[in-house]
Amino acid sequence: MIEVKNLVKKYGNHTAVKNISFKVDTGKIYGFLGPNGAGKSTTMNIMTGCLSATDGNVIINGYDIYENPKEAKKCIGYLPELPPVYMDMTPEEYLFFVGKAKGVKGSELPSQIEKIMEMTGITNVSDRLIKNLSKGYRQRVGLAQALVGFPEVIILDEPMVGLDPKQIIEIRELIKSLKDKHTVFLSSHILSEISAICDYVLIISDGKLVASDTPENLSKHISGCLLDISVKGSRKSIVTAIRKIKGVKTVEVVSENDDGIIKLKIHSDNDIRSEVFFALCQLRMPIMELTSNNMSLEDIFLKLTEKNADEDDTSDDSDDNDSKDEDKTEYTPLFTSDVNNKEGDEE
Amino acid sequence: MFAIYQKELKTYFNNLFGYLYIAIVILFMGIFSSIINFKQAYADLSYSLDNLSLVVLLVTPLLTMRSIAEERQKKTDQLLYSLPLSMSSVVVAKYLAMLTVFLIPMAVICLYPFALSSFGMINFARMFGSILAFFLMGSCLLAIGMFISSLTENQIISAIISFVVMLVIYFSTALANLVPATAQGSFVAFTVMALLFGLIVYLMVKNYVIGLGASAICEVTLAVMFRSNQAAFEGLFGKVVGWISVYERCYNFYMGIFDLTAIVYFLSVSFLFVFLTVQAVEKRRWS
Repeated sequence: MIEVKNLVKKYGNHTAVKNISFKVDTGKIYGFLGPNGAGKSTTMNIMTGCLSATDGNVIINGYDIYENPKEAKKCIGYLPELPPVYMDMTPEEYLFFVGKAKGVKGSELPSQIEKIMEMTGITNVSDRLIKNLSKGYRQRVGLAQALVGFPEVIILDEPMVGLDPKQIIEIRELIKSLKDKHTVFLSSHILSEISAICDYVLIISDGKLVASDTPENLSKHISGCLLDISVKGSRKSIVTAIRKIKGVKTVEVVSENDDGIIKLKIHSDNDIRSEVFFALCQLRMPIMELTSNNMSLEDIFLKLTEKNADEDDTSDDSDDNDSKDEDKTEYTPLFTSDVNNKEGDEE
Repeated sequence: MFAIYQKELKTYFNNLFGYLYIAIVILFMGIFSSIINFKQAYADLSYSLDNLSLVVLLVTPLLTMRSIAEERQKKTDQLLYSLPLSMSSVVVAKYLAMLTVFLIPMAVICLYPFALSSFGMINFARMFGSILAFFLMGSCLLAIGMFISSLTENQIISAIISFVVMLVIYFSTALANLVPATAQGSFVAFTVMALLFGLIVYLMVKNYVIGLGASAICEVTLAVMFRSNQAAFEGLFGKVVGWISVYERCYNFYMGIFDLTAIVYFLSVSFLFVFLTVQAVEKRRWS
């Protein structure tokens, strides 16, 4: 459906997108995840022909976006970061304009637009000027615009921004319902949003694709354990004892107070609470406090992308041509987090 | 393409600019012709049109300033880029919408010869020739204005630059006359132009070497030409400016000469600036 090959985008000396390659198949919802400034919008702008790449190709439905822009763009509906709406028009006028410009048949247009307005919930504001609409409604008009003509691929750049929680759920349902007939490619910097609706997640950080997998596999990668622990005893022996435990990745001393209580953070692959307990028992060093930490999904994601950015810095350029499979292995599990539990807590 | 044309035309009449433009042109045509044609009983529109050209120059930015700059400012250009339309058709549609707005006061002006004919004999061919030249001149200004609008994101800046450029075009012949008619005078004036050209090139590509190079090439060519044929440089600057000036080109028509070169000239200038606009819009994707 969409094939992105070795995409590079340079702004002067700054490289915003560093050799990204991926494939998007029909009938799935793809999530494009990354912190601000990671190159999400740039990549999406290139995919839709709004920007040109410094190097690499984008092939949509077999049409190259540069060599065959008209055919390629016919398969795309795009909602950019800021909804590209004309303030002096009403949503209805605007959608008719977009429909005509996209070459939708005149006879089909009214019924199609009515349907889209219903889907996006803007029927009740269809005769108000867009400049008088709230940001959430403008966002929905923008989304409606992307749907006009029901193109095969719908690319949405942060579609949930500016919506209230109820609208977010509505739009989520709408996007899920699009899956049957369309391929949806959406970006976000909010992991929970993506994990809620996407079949496949691409994570981008600092212009590089650092992971691409299904959310289930990703949460497996992410799974691991993060413990906050306070122990009374000597710092050195505690650290060496904990390091000996199988599965421990890092031990970090957070603080040490005058009573001899040491606070530590332990990262490990699996749940090691009992092992820690027994190890410290042997040393006769009492555990004053032990918490298995549930970080928010956003935190985990941010750590993940930060870490990958660091790794990239040390091994830069050498792995530029890595395929996404290799990226998967390169991306190592960090923390524990029971994705489902956490979501339950929030609600 | 038609969708864009329709939308543009609607926008002109959804806000004040379209009405204002039409009203001002019609109002001033009325004022000039009531003084020149009706009060002083001068049986030709050329003087009125000549005066009107200054007015058209002043109001052209009303139509052109928004055309591309606003799309860019409001980020709606991303919609245009992602639509299955080529940029040239988008730009041409926008230009045609402007021309359509401009045609409305021109249609009113076309009624003047008939009004005048009730007072006596008039030369219809000459009058309609003048009106045609005037229209073509106006469309050149619109193309230039649209190009300037495509260079900036800010409508106000676009309006001010268009304004200055059009004033310079209007007064170019008068300004050129200030340059001494001697060969040396012309040479100095051309040198200044070459430096200006280099500056513009530099501003566009942001590269000293290319900017200076462009200036240097022009300057060397000038110097060689000056050495080989100094006599030809006498008064040349004034001639060249007069030849380029959009306004001067109308005068043959005003005098009743159907000047085919002028028509070709007007069409080429319009085409050139529409083309440059397309390039500027396309270039935006590469930035």
